[in-house]
Amino acid sequence: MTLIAVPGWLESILPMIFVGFAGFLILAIGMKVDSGKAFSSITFVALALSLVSVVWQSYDPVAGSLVTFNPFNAYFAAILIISSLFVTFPALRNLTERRDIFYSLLLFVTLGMLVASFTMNLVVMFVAFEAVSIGTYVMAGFHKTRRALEASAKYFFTGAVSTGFIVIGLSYYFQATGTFDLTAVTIVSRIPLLTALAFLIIGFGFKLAIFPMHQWAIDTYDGSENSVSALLSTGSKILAFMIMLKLFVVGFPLLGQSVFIFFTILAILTMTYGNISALSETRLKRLLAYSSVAQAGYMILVFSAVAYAQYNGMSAGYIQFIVAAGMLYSLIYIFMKGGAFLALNSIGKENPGLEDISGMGTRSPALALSFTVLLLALAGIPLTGGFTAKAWLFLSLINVKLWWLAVIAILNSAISVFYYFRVISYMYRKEPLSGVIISTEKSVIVPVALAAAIVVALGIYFYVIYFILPFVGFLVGG
Amino acid sequence: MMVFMVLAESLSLLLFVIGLYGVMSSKVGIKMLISIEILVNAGVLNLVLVAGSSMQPIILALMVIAISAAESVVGLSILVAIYRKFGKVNISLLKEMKE
Repeated sequence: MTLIAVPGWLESILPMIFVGFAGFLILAIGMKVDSGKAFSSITFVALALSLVSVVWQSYDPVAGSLVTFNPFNAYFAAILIISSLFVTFPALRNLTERRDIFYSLLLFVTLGMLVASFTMNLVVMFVAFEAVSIGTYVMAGFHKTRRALEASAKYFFTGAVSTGFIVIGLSYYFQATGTFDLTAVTIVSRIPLLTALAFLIIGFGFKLAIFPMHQWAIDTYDGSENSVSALLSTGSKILAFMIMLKLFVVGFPLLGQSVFIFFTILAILTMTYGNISALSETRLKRLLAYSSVAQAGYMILVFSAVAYAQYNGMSAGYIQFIVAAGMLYSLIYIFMKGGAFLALNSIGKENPGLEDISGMGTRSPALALSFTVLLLALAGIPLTGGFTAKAWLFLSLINVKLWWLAVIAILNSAISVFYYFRVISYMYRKEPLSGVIISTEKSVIVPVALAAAIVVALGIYFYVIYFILPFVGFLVGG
Repeated sequence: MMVFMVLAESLSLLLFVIGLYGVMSSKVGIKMLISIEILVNAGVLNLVLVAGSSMQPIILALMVIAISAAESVVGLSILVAIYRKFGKVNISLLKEMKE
């Protein structure tokens, strides 16, 4: 179904035009007026239009092009746009100066995400990835408080080092395969490809915050403003996940065993480290940050399962099922994690601790209920989206006979229940503190409630994976 | 030719290690920025080495040069903001959050 009568190639790049044009428009308006409402509305409209045109495009194949328009890429583009949409209005709350710059940065970051999702070429992917990184370095430190600057500096220096790793990894990748086009990987020499594998895992692993490369994430999510933390832990992370999905599912043939060993070790370490550290954490944002490290651990199980299926010569159907489980996980993850970070906006205090949310159940029942649903989803309790995501992921692991890995992941989920329930018990069972304001404004509650509603809907509609499964065929043939 | 490739790739790896050591050992922001430049340029050197007759790595190398310039700009502005707040660009000042 075509929405507007435009030529095929124009229709395909329409989502990017909306977002990029609105970015420049806000910069232009910002020279004359400073109205947060106008900027956020323009951003929201542009992102919504972009989302509509991503979902409703007719996918004319553009032959021999650097960009590829297919449902698989559009799925991730839609997820990344939604993650920006979610922070559009909540970001306005703590923004006092240069609001035009913030919103145009948000739009340009989304543009980078869109370009990265609509390509299978590593050169384009790298440039778009860096556009997102550089934009988010600025956004992390945008509020220029002590904590925000610390967050931004830590994010910048680890991010810049990861760029170095990615560049050298890409150069070895070219040496091994002779191409940057992921759809045309044929000639392979093993030793440079193994080197490339190590460098690229470290480089993108920094952005995904997997175990040895995670420390910046804890401090950056902690120090940044809540909505920026929400964007960093959803959009930026899912972008890195998507790039790794494209890279490690199709880009490393004949190297399945090494990929499997690398990712299995990293996944187990990441899950366990994130969950164990969160158990003893008392600051709310750091707790959510550790939980997001643990969630990254579940996500990279996808790569080890795919590699295991590849080197055991299993049919494409198995691989498609695993990839679909990973795609479903990233969809549900943005609602769970984004909503949870945005819920902290209600607490009128910087760096809230566990005790600061005590009594939220009586002071703001709607918010407390939504936050509870999101935390239950992160723990993976049935009837929430978190259960759907985890159940399909673990089922796909068992499907390729990696039941021992599934057992480790389930044990980790069991550990994680403790610290999420600790937060919930503070909300409902403790007396409210007198000095802390808990906001009951609509602008805070609506996004969180919306995220919670979607998470519950995805939890009830358990078979949503069969809606995603057809998209995977565009990445993994068969 | 083979010897040249091995020597040149070792050079780029050496530059990479120097850059990495510089970032990890230094506490001064400017020094870390310079080390990151060395780190990224090691990658650029390696890209040009593996290019052979293909143009793709050369294009990526040019892109990386532009991107690393943009990145330095952002890094320097973060350091300027830190200088205005603290009066120093020493990264070790930034430890309000516990490790």
